[in-house]
Amino acid sequence: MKNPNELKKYVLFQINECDAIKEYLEEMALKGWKLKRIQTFFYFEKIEPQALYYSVEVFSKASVFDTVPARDTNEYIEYCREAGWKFVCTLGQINIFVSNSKDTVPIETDDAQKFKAIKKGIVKQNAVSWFCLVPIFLFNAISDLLFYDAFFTSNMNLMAFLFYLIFFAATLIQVASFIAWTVRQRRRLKQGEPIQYISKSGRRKRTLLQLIPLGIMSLILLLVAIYSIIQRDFFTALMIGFIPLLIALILIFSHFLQKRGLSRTANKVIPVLLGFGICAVITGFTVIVLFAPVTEPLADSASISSKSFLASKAEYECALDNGSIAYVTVFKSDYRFIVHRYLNSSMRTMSRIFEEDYVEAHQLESEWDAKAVYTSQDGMLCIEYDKYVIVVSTESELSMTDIDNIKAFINLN
Amino acid sequence: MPREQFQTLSEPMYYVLLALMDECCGVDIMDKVAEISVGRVVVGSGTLYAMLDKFQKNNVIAETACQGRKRTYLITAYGKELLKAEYKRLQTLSSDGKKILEGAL
Repeated sequence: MKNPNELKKYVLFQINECDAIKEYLEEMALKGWKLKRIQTFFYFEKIEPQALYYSVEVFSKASVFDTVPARDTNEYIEYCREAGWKFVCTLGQINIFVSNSKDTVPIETDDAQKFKAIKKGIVKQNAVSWFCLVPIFLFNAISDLLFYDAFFTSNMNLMAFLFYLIFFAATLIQVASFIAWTVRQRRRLKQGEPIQYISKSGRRKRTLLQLIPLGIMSLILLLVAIYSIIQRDFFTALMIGFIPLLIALILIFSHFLQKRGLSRTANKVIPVLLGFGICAVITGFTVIVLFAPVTEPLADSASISSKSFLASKAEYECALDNGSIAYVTVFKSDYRFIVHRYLNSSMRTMSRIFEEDYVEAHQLESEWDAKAVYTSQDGMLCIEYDKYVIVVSTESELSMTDIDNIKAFINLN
Repeated sequence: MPREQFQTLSEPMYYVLLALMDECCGVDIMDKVAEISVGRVVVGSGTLYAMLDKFQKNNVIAETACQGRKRTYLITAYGKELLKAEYKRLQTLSSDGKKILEGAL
């Protein structure tokens, strides 16, 4: 039931857009809406349209994790109240005050202090994104490039890599514009001019700039999900479906925390515990699903395989003529560049493990009908074709029948 | 705002310390500052809060009474020294200026 005396708006803002928010609140007051509280949304209540004067302040002793004013903040609020500024609400480091008169002494009269508090505030507001997510994603992206057979054969990993790139680009833009703003304002401060905080139009530009990467990422998610379903890769589609679910859960949870108004410590500890809990559940679930006991695999069946639109990789156990087993890995790709890279990295890995180099064995090329064949002392074979690479690991000599078996089997797949 | 050694005080700092030569609290400090400077210097409540906190941490002022959230402060001996030093510095500036500019002014 929509209450006609209440209005709810979703407003996202950065700390250095305090003036833009102030303008916005004052406009709303003139339209007859007064801010009551902020809990994920801005909640307004209906009043007589009037001129109200707002002050959006950053209190450096408050923490991003505050949902209700801490003790220091309460003192600060008391000071402001005595000076004629009525406290409206708080969220994290932001405190909003309102006054009925235009001539009330501004809460912050020291430009340099306010600038410093706001700079610190922005860093704190973005700390998780800049200092946690960026290193984690960087680590993931780099391991993708190092272990790229896992990377190129998985649509999920490829998509995630793309996401990392978009995320890095967006964060870079954000950090760069913040630094540019800081440098410009510091110059103004030195020349004794007042600091310019982001205005309404600046805020609109910034929001747009941040919505674009988000829109692109959502589009990619949707396309990959559809493609996965077409390819009957339901696992990937399911994983993608989890992402909006996860985001919704996070928003709902943070809304709940704001409503409850718990202490700063609780607000830090509870999400961490919950995060660990969820990760544990997901890991457990994945372990159970992926490593569920499988019935005795047929001798020539693939035990592990992964496939993406760029490449695919499968690992088999092949029964040989003489009764022993050969472990065969097949890496396929339509892209010569990827096949070549895989070949090089395989040989490098193998020679590192077995401490010897591969030798090109020209005499085997015709047997395998391949571009090149590389062997090592231990019976590892690396067979290079145009569009795929076979790596065979076996203790015994391969007979022609074995070779034909393997080739036929792979072509079947 | 100059910090650490409080070598030179900014105008708001100077006037707040002047106001705290007598016991004073909260918004009364703001009023007193406006009064002493005849409306020329204005200190906001947020700025004042941060300033008092910094002064107290550096033993420039001391808390003399505390009723709930209302704290009363008074300048300390160390604070008085700082204030006097600043006053002398301003006097020196003034008298040196007078020497040069006397004829012109």
